[in-house]
Amino acid sequence: MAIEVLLPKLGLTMEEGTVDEWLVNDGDLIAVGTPLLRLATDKIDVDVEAESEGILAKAVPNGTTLAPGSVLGWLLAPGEAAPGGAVAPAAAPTAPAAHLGRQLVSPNARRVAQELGIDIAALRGTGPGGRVVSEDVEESALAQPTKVTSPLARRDAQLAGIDVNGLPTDTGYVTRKDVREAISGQGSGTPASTAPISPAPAVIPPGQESSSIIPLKGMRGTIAARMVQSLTEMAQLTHGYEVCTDSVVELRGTLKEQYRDFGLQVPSLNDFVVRAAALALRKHPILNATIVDREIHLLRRIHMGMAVAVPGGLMVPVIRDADTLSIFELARATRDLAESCRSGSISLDALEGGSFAVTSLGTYGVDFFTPVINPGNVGILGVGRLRDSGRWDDDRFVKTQVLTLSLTFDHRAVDGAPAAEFLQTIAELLARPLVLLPGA
Amino acid sequence: MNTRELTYVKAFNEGMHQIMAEDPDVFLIGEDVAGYGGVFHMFDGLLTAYGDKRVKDTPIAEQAIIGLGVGAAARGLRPVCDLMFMDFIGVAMDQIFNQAAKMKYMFGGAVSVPLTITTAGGAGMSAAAQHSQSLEAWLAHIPGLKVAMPASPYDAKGLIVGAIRDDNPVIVVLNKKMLGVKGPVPEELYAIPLGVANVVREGDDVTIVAIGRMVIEATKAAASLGELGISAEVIDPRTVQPLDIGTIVTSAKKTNRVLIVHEAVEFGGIGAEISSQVQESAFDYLDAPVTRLAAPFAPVPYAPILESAYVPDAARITAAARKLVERS
Repeated sequence: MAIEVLLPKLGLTMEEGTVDEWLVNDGDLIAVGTPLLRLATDKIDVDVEAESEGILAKAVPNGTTLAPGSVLGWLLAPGEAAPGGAVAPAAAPTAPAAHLGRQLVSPNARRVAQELGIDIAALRGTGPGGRVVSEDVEESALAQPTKVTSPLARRDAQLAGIDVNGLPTDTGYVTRKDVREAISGQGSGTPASTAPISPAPAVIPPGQESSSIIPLKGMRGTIAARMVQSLTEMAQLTHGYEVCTDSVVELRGTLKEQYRDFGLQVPSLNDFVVRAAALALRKHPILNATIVDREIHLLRRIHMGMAVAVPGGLMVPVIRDADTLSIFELARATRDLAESCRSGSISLDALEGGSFAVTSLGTYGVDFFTPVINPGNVGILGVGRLRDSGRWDDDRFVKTQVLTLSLTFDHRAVDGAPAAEFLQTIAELLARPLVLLPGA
Repeated sequence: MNTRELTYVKAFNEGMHQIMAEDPDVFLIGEDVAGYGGVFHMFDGLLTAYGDKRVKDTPIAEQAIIGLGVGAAARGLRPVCDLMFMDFIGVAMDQIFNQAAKMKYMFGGAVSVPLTITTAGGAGMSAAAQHSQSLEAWLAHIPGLKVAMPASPYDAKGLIVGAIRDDNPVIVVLNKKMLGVKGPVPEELYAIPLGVANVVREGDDVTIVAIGRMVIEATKAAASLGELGISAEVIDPRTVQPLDIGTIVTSAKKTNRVLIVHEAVEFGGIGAEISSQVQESAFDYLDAPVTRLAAPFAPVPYAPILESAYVPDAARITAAARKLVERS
């Protein structure tokens, strides 16, 4: 029977795709995995591969734009007529498996086939009533020497600049999981976003030449794409807010003195700010949110992203349920994550799912800056340099220490006043640092 | 712990003795439960041991038996009300589903009804249409009631103790045909929690969920399936309300094939509920339709030959399981 070639849905947000170019001709005998056409979306171009065998009958010409799930063509058995009218040539070099009537497939077989990247249409069912059961799929997987790569796995690999050939795999088939593992093994950062890196074609200015070229791929490509996406899709603005850190500095001084002989680690100033921010998010959930379609979703759990500079870029590992951790647990988690980022051993899971982020340029001497929100969040907090200041206590001038917090927020979700209140809460918490010690 | 072989009815009887010794609030009423020890000898020796204030015979008045139990339970005692044959439960149904099941809800939790109803169900003894029914689905449909169906001597003792200790109305349905079945039973008092299934036998190829006496038939079937190279997992839910669907779903995801067996009528039975929940939770793990094997939509026949065709047995369970796993 005719197998439909469908326009794939490549991401949750994909609404349409365009057949940029058919790569094969009507009437060609197609093998599994043959690239059929080049598909263009608003974010990425990708080759759509045949998931079954058959003789191709196109349903649409080049340049057609359709929604995911639309029929682009059919793969036919020899002599079979396409639903659109075209008839497949009667004789073909090798006949693909043809089924009389509807092919019965158990739900479990479908699930396993998807996991293993096996084409069900080519299988003979041996279960009750001729149904394809999971055993048929598993046996076929063992028998098939060819490496089947799903289009999505290929796309992920392409974005990360990884060659799928020769990737290690448990199943004999390169899956998205294998690609993800390869990416995290390379330490090349968060999964590649599909946002455009460069909105318009650019050229080297006349009279200039390149002294060296840094390709926008791998981690660099991811950063570029995500930052452009962030600044083009959101309404971002930044509040600068000076907070007094005397209480924290004093407490850290005490801890240092008393912990010295015991080799205990004293949490950093930055740890205190992160802890305060995590607690403040509980009180101001609008900043722990994500915008999905036309809805702001306040998120129940607080997963704190931590910007970590690494050679050639940065990573944002995530501390799960950061608000429940004591400052000591938080400090340890931060240290461990930063270390695994720098050593390249960070897992992809640890880079996903942040609901808010903190980034610090204090050690570089920066006071105020405009951090860029990680796509999917509505806020990011920048931590500035610890510096001396002073204030009048009645008619006595006293020395204090302060730092500037830079809160960038997405004005679609958060207004200026609530953003300022969030900063006030952080300031109040930093004035009472003993509150920040315990977890939960 | 000392364990001996006891019959199903003796194990139940031992549980009754021990819980009555432990808790002075427990008392027993019903038809012929005191002087005669119950028509199935479930209550032998209780009158002598605990006296006629705690072990009472009643007239043939099921509604009054349960009504008395509901009132006593609401005031803090732990009555055990015996209904002899499950088929008689209809007479007392208003007290069961409108009073016992509802009180805690309607009084905002201020009243509990720690009532236990014991009764015997099941076919296979040529006791005819009015003394052979399995009506558990009827009871399990009522929020507020729990329904236990012991399928071994060990469970007969553990579930009657668990039921009596439970603060809500529980109906313990013994199986008439299992009264003489022997099995290991610990000497000391123990309770089986309500709502925890028993994986009677582990297997990889097909899950057989069996209820009541069908657990015995399913276990026999699993043995013959084993000889054919088919590894069957047998699960006894123990209580059909609450139903431990988690254990069943976990097993379904492992074996990818599920057969449900009960001797109640198939239409609207517990098997329909289990089947529905399995496909809701494990649809993508199924290699074959979830299948039921149960009684046809007819009263239990009196004639022994017809009755044996009516109730599922090991041979039919084996055949149904083979159909689920067969490959061509």
